[in-house]
Amino acid sequence: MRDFIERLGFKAISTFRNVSGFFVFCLKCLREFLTGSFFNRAAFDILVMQIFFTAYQLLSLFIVLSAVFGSIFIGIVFQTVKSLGLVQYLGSIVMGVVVLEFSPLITVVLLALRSSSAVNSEIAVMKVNREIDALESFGIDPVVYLFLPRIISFIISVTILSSLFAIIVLFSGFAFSSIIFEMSAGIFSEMITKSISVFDIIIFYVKTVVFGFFISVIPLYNGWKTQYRPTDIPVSVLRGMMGVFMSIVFVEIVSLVARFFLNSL
Amino acid sequence: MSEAELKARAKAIGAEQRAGFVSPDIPLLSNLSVYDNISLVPRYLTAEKDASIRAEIERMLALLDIPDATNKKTFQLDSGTLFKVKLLRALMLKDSVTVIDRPFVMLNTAADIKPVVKMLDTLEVDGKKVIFFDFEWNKNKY
Repeated sequence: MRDFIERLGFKAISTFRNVSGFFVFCLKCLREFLTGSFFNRAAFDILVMQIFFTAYQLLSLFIVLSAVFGSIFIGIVFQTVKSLGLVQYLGSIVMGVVVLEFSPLITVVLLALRSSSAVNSEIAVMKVNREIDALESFGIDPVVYLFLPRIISFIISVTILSSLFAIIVLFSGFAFSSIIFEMSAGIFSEMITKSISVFDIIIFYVKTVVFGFFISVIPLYNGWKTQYRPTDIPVSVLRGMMGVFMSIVFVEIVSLVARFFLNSL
Repeated sequence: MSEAELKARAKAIGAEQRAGFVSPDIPLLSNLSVYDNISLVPRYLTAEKDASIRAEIERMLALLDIPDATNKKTFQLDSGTLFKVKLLRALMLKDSVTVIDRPFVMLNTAADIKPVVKMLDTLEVDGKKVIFFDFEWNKNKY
């Protein structure tokens, strides 16, 4: 019994330390962001390079993937809508499900798989090799030089790529609506504009910013907290990616609830 | 020896300024080129123009006979070149003392400290305080 209580207490303390450490880390990043530290030219180079790696390098693959995946998905949705006789709700379904929910979700999953894991392992390797200590020994703040540019670049990348995905899906939607429903471009665009509210657009962009923040800050924190042992690198990446997955689910749930309440006002 | 220990030692002997470390425990950044490693310190900490930083670094690399190392990554360098790059990075830290920690660990083929002194003379770092830390048994090499 005593062992059990001790283990429980140890677990509670370590969880509390981990969570509070994460919040302190987030606050430090936020403070440096608000003070404009990332305007430092060395940090700005990292920001540009990270946008290149995260968004630009992925762009061609992303366009092909979003065209293929978006078209297949929207084709299935349109066929289902037609078979159920819900054509009058087509605009709401396209905007509400495909554009506002599906686009940021697919984008963030793709970026998390490709870039969050890379950033997590990069920072963990730098920690193990004492490269982060080397930066600190020369008076270079790793939050300003390493972390903040990556967080900002992830936020920019997720926002741009989600918007791009949404645009491509809307074009696919137009193509499929003319094939399946023989709908003109004018009717399709009118249907889309009628079924979208300002709240939806705000939530879409807030969600992409929050997604971008979490899929960068969690791997960065886990990489930074890696112990000075090579064997800790896979553990750090594992924890980071689990955290990223949990945060995606959490943000998705919160955004759905927020949309439900805001649209019912 | 950890960075904290090195700093404590530097402080203990009265070096209150910032210290630029050349140490086997303080590596170069593996994802940056030689030039980026050396230029990081002034680019991050000072408002000096990029063109003048580049000119200064290229001049120093030429003085140390490693002008072709400018765009190389750290894994492409031999131990002697690595030492030189670490030394240049430390020297780029203005208003600081340069702490050279266990030079013979990094320059394992050097019989004595003369090559390092020659490097410092070549770079004309007369006004800079340079502190050596080493094991007792290497005393005769100085």
